[in-house]
Amino acid sequence: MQEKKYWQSFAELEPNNSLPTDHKEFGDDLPVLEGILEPITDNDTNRRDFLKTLGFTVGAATIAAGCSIPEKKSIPYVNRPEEIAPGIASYYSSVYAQGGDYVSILVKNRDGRPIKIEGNPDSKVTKGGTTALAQASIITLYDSNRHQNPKKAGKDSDWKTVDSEIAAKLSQINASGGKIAIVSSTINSPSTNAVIAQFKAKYSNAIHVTHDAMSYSGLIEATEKSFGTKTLPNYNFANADVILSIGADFLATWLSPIEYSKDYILRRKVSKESTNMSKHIHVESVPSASSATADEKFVVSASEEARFVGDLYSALTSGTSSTIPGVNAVKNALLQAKDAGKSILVVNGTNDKNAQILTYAVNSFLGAIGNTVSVGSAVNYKKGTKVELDAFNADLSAGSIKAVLFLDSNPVYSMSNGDKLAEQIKKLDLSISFSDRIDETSSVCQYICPTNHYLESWNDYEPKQGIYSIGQPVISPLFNTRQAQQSLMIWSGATGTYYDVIRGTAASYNNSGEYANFDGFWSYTIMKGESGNSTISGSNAFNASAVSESIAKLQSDYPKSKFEIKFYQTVHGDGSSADNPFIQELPDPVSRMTWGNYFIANPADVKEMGADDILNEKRYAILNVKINGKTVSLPVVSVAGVAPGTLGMKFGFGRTKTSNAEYQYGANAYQFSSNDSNIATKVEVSNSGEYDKLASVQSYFTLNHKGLGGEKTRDLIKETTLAEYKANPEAGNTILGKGRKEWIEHHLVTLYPKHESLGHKWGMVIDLNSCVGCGACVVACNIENNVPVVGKNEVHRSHDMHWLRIDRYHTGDVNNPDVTFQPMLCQHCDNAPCENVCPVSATNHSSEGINQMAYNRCIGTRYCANNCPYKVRRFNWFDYQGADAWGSGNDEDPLNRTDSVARMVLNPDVVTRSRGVIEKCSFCTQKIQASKLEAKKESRELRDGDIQTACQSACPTNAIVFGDVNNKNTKAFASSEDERAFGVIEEIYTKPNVTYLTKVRNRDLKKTV
Amino acid sequence: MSHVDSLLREPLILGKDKTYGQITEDIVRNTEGTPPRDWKIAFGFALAGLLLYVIAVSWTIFKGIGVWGLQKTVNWAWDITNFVWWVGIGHAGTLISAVLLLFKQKWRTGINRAAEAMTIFAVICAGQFPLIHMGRIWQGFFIFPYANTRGPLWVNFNSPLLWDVFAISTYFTVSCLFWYSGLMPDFGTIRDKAKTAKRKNIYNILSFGWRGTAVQWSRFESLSLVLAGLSTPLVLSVHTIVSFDFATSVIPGWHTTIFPPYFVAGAIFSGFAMVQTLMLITRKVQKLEDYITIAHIESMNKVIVLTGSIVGIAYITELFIAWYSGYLYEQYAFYNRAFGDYWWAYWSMMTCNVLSPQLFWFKKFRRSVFVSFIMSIFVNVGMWFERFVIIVTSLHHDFLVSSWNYFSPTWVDISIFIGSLGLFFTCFLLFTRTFPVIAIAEVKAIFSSISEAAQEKHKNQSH
Repeated sequence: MQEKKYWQSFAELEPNNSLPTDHKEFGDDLPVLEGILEPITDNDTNRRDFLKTLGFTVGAATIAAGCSIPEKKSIPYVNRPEEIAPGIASYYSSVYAQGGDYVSILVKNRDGRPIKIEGNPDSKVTKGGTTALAQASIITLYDSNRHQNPKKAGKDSDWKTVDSEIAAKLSQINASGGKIAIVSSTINSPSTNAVIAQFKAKYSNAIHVTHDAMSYSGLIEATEKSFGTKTLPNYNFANADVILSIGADFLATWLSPIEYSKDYILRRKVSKESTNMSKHIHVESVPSASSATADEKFVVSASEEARFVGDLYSALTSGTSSTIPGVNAVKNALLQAKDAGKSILVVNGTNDKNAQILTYAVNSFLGAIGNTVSVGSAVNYKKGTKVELDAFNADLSAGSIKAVLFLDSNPVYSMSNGDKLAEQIKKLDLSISFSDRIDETSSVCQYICPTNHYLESWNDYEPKQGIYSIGQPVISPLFNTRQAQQSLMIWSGATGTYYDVIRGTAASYNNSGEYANFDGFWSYTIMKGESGNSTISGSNAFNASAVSESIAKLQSDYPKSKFEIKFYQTVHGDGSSADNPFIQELPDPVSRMTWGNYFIANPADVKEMGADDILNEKRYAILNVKINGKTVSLPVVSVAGVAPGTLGMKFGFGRTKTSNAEYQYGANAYQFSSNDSNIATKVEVSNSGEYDKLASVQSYFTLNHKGLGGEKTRDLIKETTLAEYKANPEAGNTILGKGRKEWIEHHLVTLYPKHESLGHKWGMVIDLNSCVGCGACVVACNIENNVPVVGKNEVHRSHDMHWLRIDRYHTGDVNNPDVTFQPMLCQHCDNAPCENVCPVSATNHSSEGINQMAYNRCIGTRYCANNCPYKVRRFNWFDYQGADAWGSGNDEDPLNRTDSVARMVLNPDVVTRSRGVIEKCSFCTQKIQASKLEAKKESRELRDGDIQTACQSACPTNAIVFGDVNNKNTKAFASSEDERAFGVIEEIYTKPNVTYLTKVRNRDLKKTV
Repeated sequence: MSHVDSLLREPLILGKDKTYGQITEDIVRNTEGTPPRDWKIAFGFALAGLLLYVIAVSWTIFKGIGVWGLQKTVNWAWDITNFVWWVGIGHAGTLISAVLLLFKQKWRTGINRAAEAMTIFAVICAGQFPLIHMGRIWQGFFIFPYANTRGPLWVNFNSPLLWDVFAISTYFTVSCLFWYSGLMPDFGTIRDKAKTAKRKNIYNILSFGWRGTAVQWSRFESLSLVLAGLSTPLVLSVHTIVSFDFATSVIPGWHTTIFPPYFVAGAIFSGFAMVQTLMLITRKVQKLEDYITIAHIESMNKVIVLTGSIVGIAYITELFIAWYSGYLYEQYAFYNRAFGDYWWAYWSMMTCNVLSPQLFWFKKFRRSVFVSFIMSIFVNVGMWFERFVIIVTSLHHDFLVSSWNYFSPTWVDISIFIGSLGLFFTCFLLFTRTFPVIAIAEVKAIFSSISEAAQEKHKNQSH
């Protein structure tokens, strides 16, 4: 009987067909191995062979057994938890909230561990964007330097002891009439507020003081004065045709940068169909990320920046002329826009109440109130006010406060009177810090009751009135910590858990009637991360009564002086993340420095002081600066675009109590700035004659260089104006002075064979018009791809490892240059110069157009890195990750990243690189692979947008588009074919798969260089 | 049999009373007895250098390439500078022994043995650098196209570094063969003079049992010619391939078609300078002034001024072409060389390589031992700077301004370079005490025609 035959191809069905059926999947055997590979059964095995084999096997086994195999800890699941499939990532919504900053996030969990933070696209506030701080916050979870137990007088204790002692003391203090103060940063969690209310109910003398390191007190008080409501306003950048920012870095640091960026960028993306671009005018004393994207920029000194809005108001309303540069020009532009019926928005970065009142007055005059600026519903990002804080300080000095509890707050560091505060805390009857790690305040407190990391905790948030979100834990507490809210509940004598409180609070938000029951609402909110809608209601009636007083006050408060200091914030945050190495190693968008702060100053001023840097050694002259009587010594860095006479000093550095001395570089700016202004005018500056090294990643060079043929400009950045773009979409897109498309057609030839990509071909398009330089992508890339942080010394030696960097270029006048950011990563060239020089083919081209690295094939000749025209390849100079086979004796790990807890954050899909190999951007190949598998499982083709590289998903302005450029229907293909698209140094014919879109500034004429 | 050279030609072996026996005695003497004090001091320094080398290299391998001054922008600096410098030095030996043999330049016999030894030791030094500059030297065998079970995973034949592997290993092999085959008759001579059985045995083995029969001599001559024929193209090819490391890249300042001839000329230039340095010391210490004469020194100086001028033309051509290209990156790269951060390296190179050798147009300087010695050091320094300038100034400011950087060496970089000199001189000093530094057999071959003694004899006969 004939056997039933199963066949899978016609070739098998027809045995005569020439197709071989025994096709070897893995290529042919090497010819040299012929004869050796004959099946063993063909040989006659006799007794002697048997004995020989036996002898060899026993001998080999003995030797092998004699060598110890390193012990690896791995415990298999006995009962596999639900939802966890080894190797499959799951995403949970949660919320990153630090001192009122709100980012709705999705947390990627692998095998029970959160390993990456992504923006939550369903969020109505942050719309899927993230910040560098939010991205990096995952690192603080896996920090073995967190407090692992409650502490009493600096020593480990247990919760039972601590609880009973604290409860007894609180009762005693309360009974004796002493005040109990809870000092916190802004709390926008309704449940936490409920818990505090509960605490206040139990202890009648308890008060709650809000202290924000970066205070918005001036704005809140101005709103109260002008509109009668004590809150922050809502800004609508999407509606604004003309935006004037006076020192407000609203795209990177100011108030709610993701929200503003998302709105702002809607009007900044230019295409042939949509040229309705907003006009952004920026006035500032020190350059910021936001001003880089501005269309017109005016540089004024720090005191002028403070007075600017007053002069502008006078100019607008009564036509007074001003001595401050730019006021008249801005006035004309605004009046013109007003007459044309355009929507205008004015924002002011100052924390001065009077200036903010005048900003409202200007907005009111221009018809912005109720249109682009609205007041009425609570915006809860920041709540701290100076009045409240002054009262607390007075009480503390008077001795009426006997106990203080510090919740998510570190005022010894972040108050200008921090030193005095520390002394006062030491004298208190009871001082408790909830800090989960070492900081300045907790180290003077009697008790430390470490709270959980936010990824270990339940919490809820109401960032804006009407929007309710729940932060869910994604991992059990790693250490013996307890959520602060739970501690407060226990001390208040409440029963139940904080989770129950949240459930209770949530019920009050389920009032839309959309959900059948509470559980439906709860599940929906947790799944989506957020529910509800932001509603703007209430009065927008501007009360101008305080305006004239404010003008006078502003004039007298900020006299112009020879040297002025502007304290400013960058993407590194307010200092609470200073012990996060990924934040410290993130370069400043403009100065391109990492690790610590310094003064930035106008190059001419630096020269005049004789404080020039020794650029080749990255050593910078140290200035002794006396600010309001206190002296600080910091190196000075020349930065184009700093106003003459102004020095800039960053907040958030110079911490004194951290787990590692590496986090303490720089000086604390808070001690010099009082809370109502970030400007100091009583300043004396002298050059110390000494130098200090700083870890810069990009030196100061322009794009114009003298060569043998005279001075020429490198067209790495291509830029045009809106007017020119409207006339010719290819405007500014030139190669060596000729139109790009024409030039390419005529000039490019190669000897190398073309890489055929028949299936997918991955490409990325980066819109230079959208990039605001915030650095979220850089941190996202670091964490997604296990990129090591190397510390200040190594960055100083230019051993930084970032796969993605944001190059900053200047053009034009040194005092007021145009700044352009250019995210630079592996360009995945089709004619990659790195590929043909590698002697061992460790770097090669995939069939999908990716320039890929085989780390274990790399022998580290670094030839590829030399030959890379974009200098994006990074060599592992040392064993940063404990990944080589030499043990821990030769690690270079000043930040303790090889610690077993710190390593838990590593992405298991990306190998850690040992020393001696090159690494670089892989286009997040692991994510491509994961999405492909997903599509395969669902038997469908990949959809455009299925694959989001880490940088792309982190970007708050959607500047990065990634996709299959072989598919004509993708966004990436369309963008890469746009008239604005160009590759960097295309004329050397590297054929990069990363293209950039020209920068378009909304100005009438191109500024001449 | 050999023809008689003109009486007007300067004799290549001095000494009126020289005999064949005396020649043997003069040369073999240096391998006998205990070494003189000067040699011992020199050897002590060389060994100290070698020790420094071992320490610095071990530290590099243990800790990582990060102990060098390299960084994200400049990924090669002293390592590859040293590599190219040493390879270049090697070239003179091959040129002298192979090309001059084919061109029947008899003066080469005085110096070819030591020059060939220098080649081998220089190539040994050069060969260190491609190895130790690897991030993972323990995986260095990946660069060989060997049969493997990895897929098969093959080397990249497009990569100039791979070409280097073949070029350098071929060069080393051929140089060793040539050098050793030439040594065999001389080892036989030493053996025949040996007084102890042990010494006799050792040199007997080293000479492969050389007996000096006519058949052996005939085969010896044929082999010399064959190896000379094999070596001659190597003189051109090895440094051409080394120059491809740069020329095939895209970096302005590297991506230059002039590199092959320019590198070959530079290699011969630096090699002759090194031979000059070594010979001037050797002839003095080992009292070989009769065999390494002022005429030899002058000949070498002529080569130096020729190749130095070729190199100078190459430098100027580079500058011209950069300007003429009209391409801003190219124009900047060369402007930056001369007037950028490393201007001092560029002008050191220019002074040492182009300007100073012009002195040798004057016979007085050509024949001055002192000037020759100073000049040979100048050229060695200048040629090191040349490689440094090419490698570092091109890399430190390339296309993207954002990545521009400055390179400074660390103590490890410096130690490895000094240490490589230690390695070289350790080898060379050992060579001078154990091997005949002058090819005895070859010198004897010209004794009857172009020595002072022969001329004297001829003069007497004709009178």
